Amino acid sequence: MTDFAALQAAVLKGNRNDVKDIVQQAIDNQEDINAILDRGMIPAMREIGERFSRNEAYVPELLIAARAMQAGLTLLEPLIAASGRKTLGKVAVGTVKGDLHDIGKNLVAIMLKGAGYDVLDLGVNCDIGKFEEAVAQGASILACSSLLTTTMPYMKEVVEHFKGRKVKIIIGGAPVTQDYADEIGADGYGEDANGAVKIVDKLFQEA
Amino acid sequence: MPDKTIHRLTILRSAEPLPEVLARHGFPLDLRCGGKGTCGRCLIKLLNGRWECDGQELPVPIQAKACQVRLLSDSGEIAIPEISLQQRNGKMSSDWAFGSLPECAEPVIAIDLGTTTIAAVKIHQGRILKRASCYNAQNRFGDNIIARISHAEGSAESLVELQRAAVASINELLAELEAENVSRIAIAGNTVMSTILHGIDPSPLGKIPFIPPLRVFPVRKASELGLKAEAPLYTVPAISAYIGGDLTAGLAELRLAPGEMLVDIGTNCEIIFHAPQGLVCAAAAAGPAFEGAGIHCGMRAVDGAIEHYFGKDKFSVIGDTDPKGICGSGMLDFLAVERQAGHLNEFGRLQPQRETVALAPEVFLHERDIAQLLKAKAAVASGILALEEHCQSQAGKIFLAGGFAQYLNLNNAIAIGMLPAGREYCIAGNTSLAGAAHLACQPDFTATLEKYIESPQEIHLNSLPAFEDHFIDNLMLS
Ligand code: B1M
Repeated sequence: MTDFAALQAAVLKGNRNDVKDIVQQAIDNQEDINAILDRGMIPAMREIGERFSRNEAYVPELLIAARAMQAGLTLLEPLIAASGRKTLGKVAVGTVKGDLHDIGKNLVAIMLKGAGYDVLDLGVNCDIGKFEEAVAQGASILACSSLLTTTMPYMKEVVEHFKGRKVKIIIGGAPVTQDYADEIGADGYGEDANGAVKIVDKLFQEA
Repeated sequence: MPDKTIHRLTILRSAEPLPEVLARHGFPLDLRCGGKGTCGRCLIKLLNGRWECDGQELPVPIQAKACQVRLLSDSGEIAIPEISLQQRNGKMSSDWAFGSLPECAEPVIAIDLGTTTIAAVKIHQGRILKRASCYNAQNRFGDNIIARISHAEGSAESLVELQRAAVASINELLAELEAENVSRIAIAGNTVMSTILHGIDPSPLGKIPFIPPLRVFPVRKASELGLKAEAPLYTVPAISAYIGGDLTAGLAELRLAPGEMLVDIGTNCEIIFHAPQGLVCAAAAAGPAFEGAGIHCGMRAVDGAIEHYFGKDKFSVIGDTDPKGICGSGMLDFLAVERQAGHLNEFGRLQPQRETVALAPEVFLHERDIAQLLKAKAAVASGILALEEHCQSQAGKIFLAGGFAQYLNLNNAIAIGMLPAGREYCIAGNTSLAGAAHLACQPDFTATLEKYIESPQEIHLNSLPAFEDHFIDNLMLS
């Protein structure tokens, strides 16, 4: 039997090695993939996200937990794909053109995976073509990240490019604000990685 | 006592933005966000007259951000608290700790043109005759180089505006140093500063692939750039967009031996390492937290700043006044001392649990501030460690350049994990100014400098997968 409480605790504490060990053992014991995710990893990631939004955890803790989560997911990902698990929806995440910062973007990607979404990570320096490819691959939300005041304006170009299409654009990153999101007509803004999950939840519920 | 002086002025309506009117009349405001209305440092009181902000008329009297208001009536009265003005008499460094100056018969001037501060020395016959320093007047266009690049991109006029601001500040120093009779002036600065000083559009420096418009700057007559001196002006050449002449100067002065590293801790932490495979360099964007930006009670190292912190109610303040805020060296002490005392856990959370901690009646730190500091120190540490890992070699001796390094408590910097333990450290002082001084005394040093800019191989830290891992590890307090 997999100790789901121990798995959750290891993710919350950011203990990469424990997460890997427990997940590997669960896989070796042919534990149900959905159980590992739904009873272990996802509740833990939701919990750390909640703590974060209640100001009970800050970026360092979040990053460390997310890295532990990713260590487990890396083991699980091939099996998830093979299992045909139904996800909550497909979201593409990318840092916009001209910008190479990806630590925040990676965090957003892991939190979304942790929340049960199918995430396409487009990497850094993404131009409109990259985002188009993601749409072609079925992404219904594009989450754009920017860390530089000089690359923020590219988000406006992305929003304008996809205007009138079904795909939703949400934005975030240190210099980005709700005001800016409203100004450029983005469909949503995530103040932090947990905010990104909340806005994705909301957009999928509305759809 | 904190300076509670308040300046009362009558303002006449004009098309010019209020901060510029005030700057012209000798009241330069603290516009560290570049007048975007985000930092809240330029608060003034509108006493009478009709004023608007965001299209709405304000009821007077009212406190408001000077950068966001406009006078509607013909005249209006305002009150500016001293604390909203650009701080003067800060700690600026014009010392360096090594080498002697080459003999040179004529008097010369050397300048370190920093993003925030400018330091200059007048040298004669191998001796420093006089030192002077001031804030860079470009500060009112934003406190970081990206903000300066963005401003310059706006239009040809805004580039001129920036260039003139730097020139005006340098001219203050030239006047103080009596520059009329000097035979040469040499200047070292980061690539953005040097590019703007030469009147060149810096916008390629802000965009991938970050190609500097010029790395080797022509020798110009100082007066051609608007400087009040007839002497020729030499500029230390730059290595790359983010490793500028200030670093070239340091590299050439220290002549880094194999196994030695130069780290300039600032908003943008630059690192040059003499690895077994040769010289490598990188820029780790640490951010301005240690300069006080983005921290509730953060301030630069000026009068009233807590400079060293030893424990609750035990601290030293610059200028021996009441504490008004805390500067980088004090914040770093705080992290080390309170972690040691068990009042901070490894994630930088306050123990027992609460959001803020009071250091003095008007000075506190919030957990969010601490999270900012952790990001800055993690950037420095992970820059060094990722670069070393890339080169598969560790630096035995690390030279620390820049003003911050001169005031920080080295043991505390190591204790919080900003700097790796087990190395020999050497506080090198203002190596940028040292290199400029060398060039001013000995203009054929140019050839050496031009050779040095070709050798370091630049490593983009984002291309090193280990960077992210080190960054996350080093966010914690050991
Ligand atoms: C809906 O979609 C969403 C929703 C929410 C989203 C979202 C998307 N994306 C993010 N979020 C949100 O969720 C996350 C979690 O809460 C948050 O993500 P963040 O990314 O904000 O937070 C991360 C978890 C942690 N934060 C970070 O990762 C950024 C930290 C700092 C230190 C930083 C780093 C690490 C780096 N940097 Co850079 N860097 C700085 C940063 C200064 C600082 N002290 O913060 C900053 C951002 N950098 C800056 C600069 C100037 C630069 N950097 C550069 C390079 C680098 C490194 C390579 C060294 C490294 C990046 C490595 C990497 N793989 O990402 C250069 C540019 C490269 C490029 N083209 O992108 C360079 C230009 C200069 C240089 N030194 O080379 C500054 C920007 C200033 C400005 N006005 O724009 C800077 C603020 C530091 C400074 N000097 O002041 C939220 O914003």
